[in-house]
Amino acid sequence: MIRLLRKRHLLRFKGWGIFFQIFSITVLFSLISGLSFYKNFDSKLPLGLVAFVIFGCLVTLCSFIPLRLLYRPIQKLHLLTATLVTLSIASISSFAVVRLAAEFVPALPSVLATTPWPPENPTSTALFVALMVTIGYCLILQIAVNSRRERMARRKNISNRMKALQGRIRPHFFFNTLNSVASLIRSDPDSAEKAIEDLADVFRVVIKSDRKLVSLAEEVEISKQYMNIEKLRLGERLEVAWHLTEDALNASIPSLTLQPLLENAVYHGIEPALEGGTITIDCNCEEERLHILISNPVSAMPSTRESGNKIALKNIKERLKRQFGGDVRINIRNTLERFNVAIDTPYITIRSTY
Amino acid sequence: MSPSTHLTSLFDPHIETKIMKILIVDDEKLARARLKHLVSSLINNPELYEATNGREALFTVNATRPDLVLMDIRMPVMDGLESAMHLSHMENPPSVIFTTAYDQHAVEAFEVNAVDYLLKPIRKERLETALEKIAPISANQIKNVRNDNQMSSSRSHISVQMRGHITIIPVTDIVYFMADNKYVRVRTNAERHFLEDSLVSLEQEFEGKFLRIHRNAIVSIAHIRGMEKQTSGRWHVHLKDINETLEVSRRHTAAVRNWIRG
Repeated sequence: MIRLLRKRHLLRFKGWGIFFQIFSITVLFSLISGLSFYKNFDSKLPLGLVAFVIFGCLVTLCSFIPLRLLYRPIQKLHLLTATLVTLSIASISSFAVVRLAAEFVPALPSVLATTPWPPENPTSTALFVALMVTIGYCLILQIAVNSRRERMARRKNISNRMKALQGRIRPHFFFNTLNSVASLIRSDPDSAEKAIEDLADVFRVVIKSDRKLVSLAEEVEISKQYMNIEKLRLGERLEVAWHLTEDALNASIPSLTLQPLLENAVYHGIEPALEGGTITIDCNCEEERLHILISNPVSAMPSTRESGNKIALKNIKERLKRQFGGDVRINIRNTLERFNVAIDTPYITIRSTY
Repeated sequence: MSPSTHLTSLFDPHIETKIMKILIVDDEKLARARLKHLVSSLINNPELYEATNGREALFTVNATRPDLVLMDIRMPVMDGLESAMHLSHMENPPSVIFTTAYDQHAVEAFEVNAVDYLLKPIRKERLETALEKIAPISANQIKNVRNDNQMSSSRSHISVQMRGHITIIPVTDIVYFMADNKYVRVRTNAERHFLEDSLVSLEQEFEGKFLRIHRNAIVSIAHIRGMEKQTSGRWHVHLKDINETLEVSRRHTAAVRNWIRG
């Protein structure tokens, strides 16, 4: 059981979980009390049981409060220590609550006294209650930990698969491009040929599993080919403005840093806009740092498009961090008219492998 | 390019003088060009129209009354599914066949609800079979598709029937909806319309954009200027661009006041 009481889950009482736990402990508590009560069956039974349930609820709730307050410090302890501390806090606080209640609520001892056991003595009663709460805790924690573990595992599995899917180019782009090419073959075979060549180059880079360092010039080249394809499809709705300095082009970045961001800019900024707009890309370096700024218009019409889940951005951040350590900044600035992504990395150059 | 035998029998000019009218809706020029070419190779002298988004499609349908609409799904201003939904409320609506390059959810929704669709790049044979069995889509079918599609199901526009034509009102222009017997009154800054819908379903659909102020009214949050207590003791909402006030019922006063403060 201790194996299951992983400290991460031990004390996470959030949302409805807390009510579920309180309720279950109370039911257990009343059941055990009710059993001994049953032996002494008389006309007071329903009233006594109700009193017990309410009383149990209050006691359990009170014992949760100190745990909730000590949530963070306890979480830092070793697993076994954390378990012991949790259980002792639960029993001590419930003991204290019952003991105090017996002092100040005159009716309580008499309600408790209807049971043959625990005895009328408030201290013994409190001890009994504390024992019940502790046992209840152990059982409930085990159930909660099990179900939470399963849920976490399932969620992690889904999100991993999502990431794997979203890291790649949108399938939508691929099929739309094929459709454009099918149309161009008849009307403009030269453009069709060029589109196929661009598509082949883009896909060669995208399906490559290792994301090595490339020069910004190479990344810009592949991004320009990507934008050519999109321009074929979107026509004059898509305008692109590149501002690149010579030394920035020599900088090294992980492959596919720009293209996914441009894909997002087209998908969220240009496609939903009737009139389209201009995507600007600024790359320059300053004081040994490379600055990249990508900006796209924000559609004024309410978009029916699902808002971005920022997966592309997260992937890029992860890859940049793996490459440059923590020395990477990505800022998103969302104004009324434009959506801007600014990337700031150390400026390094390598001899290109091409 | 000989027209298909099935279609010539259906649309033989000697038997029926009616020319088939087809509207092609797609925001991409090349996609429209290809579809136009395919349709012309299958049907004798079709009357072809084009639109670049869902809203434009509705205007073109009003003006030209096509028999068939070939509708893309992802488009700016208004997507194809919403456009088809407005169409389905018309009298004698045109048939609709959806076209899409890749829309997993939409395709699943079409399959479930037996709505015809074509995958781009469209095959000529596939288009031919689709043209042979065209049938109007019912309002219910398209509603289910939109629900199953998991995209935002709230409309960007409201359509109102008037003498067989449909009028389109952007939801952002609407100031309030007010229940009136079995109808709902729609008020924009400039116009008033009647709608056959229920206030409850409108409230659910536009949750977050409209605020319930009375048993019979929901108001666009963007159009509320403020709230004032009348001498009668009742609160009234003031609107931004029109000189009208709306009564706030006692039950909703607290919620409206919280929203204005918040």
